[in-house]
Amino acid sequence: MNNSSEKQNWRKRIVSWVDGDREPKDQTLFVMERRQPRFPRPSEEEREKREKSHLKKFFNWYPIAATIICVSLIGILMAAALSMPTFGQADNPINNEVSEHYLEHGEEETGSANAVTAMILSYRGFDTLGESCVLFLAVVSVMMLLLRDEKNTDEHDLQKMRSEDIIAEEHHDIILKQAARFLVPCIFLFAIYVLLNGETSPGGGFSGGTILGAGLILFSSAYGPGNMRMILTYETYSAVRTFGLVLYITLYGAYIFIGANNLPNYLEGMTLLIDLAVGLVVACTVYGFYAMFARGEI
Amino acid sequence: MRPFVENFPFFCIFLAILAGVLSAVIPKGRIAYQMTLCVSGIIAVLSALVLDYVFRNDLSFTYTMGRFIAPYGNAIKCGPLQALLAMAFSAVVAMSLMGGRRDLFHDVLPEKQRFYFTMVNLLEAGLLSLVYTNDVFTGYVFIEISTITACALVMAKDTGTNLIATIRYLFMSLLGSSLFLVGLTFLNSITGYLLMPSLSEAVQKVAASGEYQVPLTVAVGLIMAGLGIKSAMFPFHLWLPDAHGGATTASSAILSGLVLKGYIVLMMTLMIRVFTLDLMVEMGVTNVILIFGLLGMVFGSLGAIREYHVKRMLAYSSVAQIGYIFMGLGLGTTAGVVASCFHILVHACCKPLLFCCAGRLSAVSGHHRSLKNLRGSAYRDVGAGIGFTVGALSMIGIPLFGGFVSKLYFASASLPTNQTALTLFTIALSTVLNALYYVPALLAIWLKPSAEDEAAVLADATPDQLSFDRSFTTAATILTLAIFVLGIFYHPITSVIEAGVRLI
Repeated sequence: MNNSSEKQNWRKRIVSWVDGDREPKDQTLFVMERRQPRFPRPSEEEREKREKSHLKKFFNWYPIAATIICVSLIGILMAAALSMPTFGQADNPINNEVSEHYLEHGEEETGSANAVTAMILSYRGFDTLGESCVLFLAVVSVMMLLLRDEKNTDEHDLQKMRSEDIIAEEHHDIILKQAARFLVPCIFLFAIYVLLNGETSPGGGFSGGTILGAGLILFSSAYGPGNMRMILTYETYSAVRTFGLVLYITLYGAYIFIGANNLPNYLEGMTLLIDLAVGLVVACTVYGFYAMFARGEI
Repeated sequence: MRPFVENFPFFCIFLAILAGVLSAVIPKGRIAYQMTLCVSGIIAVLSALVLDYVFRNDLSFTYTMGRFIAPYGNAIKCGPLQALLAMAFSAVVAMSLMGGRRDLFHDVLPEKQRFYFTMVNLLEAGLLSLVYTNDVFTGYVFIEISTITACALVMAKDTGTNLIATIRYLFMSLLGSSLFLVGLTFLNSITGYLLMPSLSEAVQKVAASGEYQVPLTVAVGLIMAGLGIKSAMFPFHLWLPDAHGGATTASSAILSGLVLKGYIVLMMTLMIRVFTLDLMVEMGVTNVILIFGLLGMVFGSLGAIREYHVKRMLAYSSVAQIGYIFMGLGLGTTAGVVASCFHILVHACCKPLLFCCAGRLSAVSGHHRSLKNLRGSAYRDVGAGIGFTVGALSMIGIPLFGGFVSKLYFASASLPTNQTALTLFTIALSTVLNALYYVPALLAIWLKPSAEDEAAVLADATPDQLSFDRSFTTAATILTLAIFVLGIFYHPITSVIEAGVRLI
């Protein structure tokens, strides 16, 4: 009798080992998920109490551990920085033939008087292409998260947004509007100037694009989303953004192909076009972030 | 004029980037899906041609990305190892997408599916660039791309738990990339180069002169720690189970099978091409990697034993398998690196197969994830059951399956080193631990449950999930075959890897 019940017990335990005896809670907690003891199953309250005490312990230890890690990391980095070459010395390892080459032959080899533009668009253009993709991806991931859809927006949110829009329509801000009327054209003009002169003066795609994006943000916040949509709909926005990056990729791809295969160079004026393409991507990124976080739509 | 085939690595990278950007404007998710499959297929074929070319001629070539030769302009470098990895990675991307197709279109909202494929394509571009790069800063840029896209793949399912997991993953990843960047800055200011060949020469000079010993050590430490965090090396693995266990099937497969490997490949390239293995052994870096790898092998498996959630179990198992790869690197010999590379391939086939099968098994059980509710699910989709069995047996290391060969290579690589006893013991222990969680899982899916339990589970499953899934079955068959090929005809593959490591 005793023997058979023990046997039963063993069978049961093996079966529960194979099965796992509970539906795992599909949740991610601050603390690591812990397995509950198999027998007996704790009640909901007990579980909660235990979780809370674990959390409390976690928060007691967290600041101490964080401080220790940070202080030791700071110590290590300081020690390393102290034995680094002194900043700005002429015979530092960083002042080697590479930087010399960039400064001395940059203009004749790439055609851009601005050494920074020569470096980011010609010498190390592949990295810059990667960075432009990072910008593009940042907007796409924000869109994935915040673009309004059935999961993250309900009727209530929409109603609230509509009523806020109506209030904004009725009580428009005169100072902001007048200032924007004067400033926006100037900003756009300046942005175009910076974009077109990236080759010869400080500036270029990244700075020009940011200025352009800032102008769009100012226009949008002064005149509201309705007027904004008259000049920039979602379709135009994604078309411009994609066009900018595709132009950049194809031009630069052709450039690499020609360069690597030692073909004659037909792409002399390429830097200007690439600058413009980068500018479009950057401007769309800046404005896209604003629009996504402000309203969840372009 | 270089041979035309040498342009292919560059074509592959640009094709993936272009496909990614274009998917963002394709209105229909299904078209973007097909385009992604096509692009991955083309990349796999192009990489196979490159592999044929470099292996036949026994060479590796540097391809300047632009008109300017090193050390002035960007460059990529391709040898047999790089071509092999690029081929495997792009093929596995396609297989993962096919295997998780149904879950993917179920979990991701229709209007956001195109963004998902943007992420997949650019992730592929990132992985290819990490494999091919010959410039440390290009490495950093594409690490950034991989980080963002990988987080977005986790986030795509858009449930509360996934968002929390994504945030954790994002923070850990950013910590990793910033440590890597700080390390690069240090390295650049004591050597003055970014291109790997000139950097390597300068590093050897610095190491020999002993002038900047502290910054060099710190830089190496930071770079290794950064890449270690990103590839879930043992003490930094806690973000992984949530991120990989909760994401949609295709994402889990890609993340576990490939993304972790991208960073490891970069680490390996740096260790061999820039710092050289001798210097790494001398600085003690390999010992640290070895210890963390061994600990990861044990603790990852222990974590998996405690899980009942089948996908989280698989995610913990990834931690253990990553431990194997680090162990191989930590041996500090060429044989160890070869074994690691082979294990990268084996794991890149097994883990996506396991994740896709687990996803399919849970789909035919009404999306339940616990092993209890998966009882008998293998009979509802026999293909998934067989796939899961093959994957699990390979992970345990049964002969004829891919996992056995890599364990054999690890064991024989450890023989000439000083750590033979420790390594062999840990491999044995880890094998037993692997069996301890894979065997119950196999028993669970192949044992019939009682009739009323099965009825309760089936009540949650819709007929259209129970119906035959053609794209999944194709993908599972191909991956299963790949595991057998790796397990039986491994000799040509290891000779390619040996040539690749020699020519890296």
